[in-house]
Amino acid sequence: MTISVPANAFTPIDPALMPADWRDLVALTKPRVLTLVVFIGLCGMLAAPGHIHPILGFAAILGIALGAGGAGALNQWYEADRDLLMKRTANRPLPAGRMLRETALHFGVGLSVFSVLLTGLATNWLAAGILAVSIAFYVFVYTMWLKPRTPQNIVIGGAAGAFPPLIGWAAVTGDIGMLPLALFFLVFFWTPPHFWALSLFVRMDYANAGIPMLPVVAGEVVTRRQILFYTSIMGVAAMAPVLLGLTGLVYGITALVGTLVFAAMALQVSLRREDDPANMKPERRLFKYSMLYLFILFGAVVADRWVLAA
Amino acid sequence: MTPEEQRAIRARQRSRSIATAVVLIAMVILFFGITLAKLSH
Repeated sequence: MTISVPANAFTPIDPALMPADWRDLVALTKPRVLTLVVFIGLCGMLAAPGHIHPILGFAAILGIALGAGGAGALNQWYEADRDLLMKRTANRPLPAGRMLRETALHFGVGLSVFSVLLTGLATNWLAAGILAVSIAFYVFVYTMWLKPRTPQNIVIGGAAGAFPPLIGWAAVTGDIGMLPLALFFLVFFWTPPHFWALSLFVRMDYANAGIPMLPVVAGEVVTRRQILFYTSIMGVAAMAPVLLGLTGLVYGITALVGTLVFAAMALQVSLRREDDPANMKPERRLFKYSMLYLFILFGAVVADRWVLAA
Repeated sequence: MTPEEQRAIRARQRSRSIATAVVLIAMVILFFGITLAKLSH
């Protein structure tokens, strides 16, 4: 098996002889993405009615983290050649030539299978089943099928990242309620504006790698309009829990203020006509705020639940 | 293979072995905890 090594990479020893560094194995799991995934899974668990033993709860959250990490590793295994073409990803362990592709494949499959077994044994098989579906969706539907084929990749693929609240909730209750479903749709409709804001200022990276992200295929103006469009749907999804009576005012007020700020930023981005990444401060601000937004809203769901319970 | 390369590979193997041992011990403790938690229900 051969692996691609960039010309400027420093590879002192053939990766076929050198065992992969454990730090590179950790990097395969995309630790920064894991933070958000684990947090929204934890919030799904804490918002659920009922009680779970802390050790079992910890095991369920660990299961979500390991499952997401396994899916991330399989994503990097499959996309190693494309990652080499993008500045943002060229230094990942596989494109940089620090690891064999088989190592990433074995690590990803092992981690994914173990995460599902751990979740099933510690909590219940509904939670484990949803975790298995989310991993399969991310790897097969998003990474292998949608991402290289259609600019709608992250619209449909966004479902993969929306499962953790369902898993956390199911780990406690053994079923799927209306609130985690509402949170699923919140993350689902949050994903397009989040990723399209990013793709505006890394458009050339995606173009070089041949990934048909919306700005590459349809252009910058259409992408900006679509960001605003999906932000408005996301706003409805964000207010749905309080409008349906699933949460109280703590969440309602937080969601309203947070969403209005999001919408104002999205409106500004949609009205701009700027295609130089160096001048895309509002786009970068929207991307960063979108992550904070999800943290705040999910935190508010838990705070709301605890206020109602008090 | 040069002696430096052999030393680098040995060092990498050692650090991986330590990391594997830490993960295995953590898993043993976790599954022990899960068993106790399940039994207490």
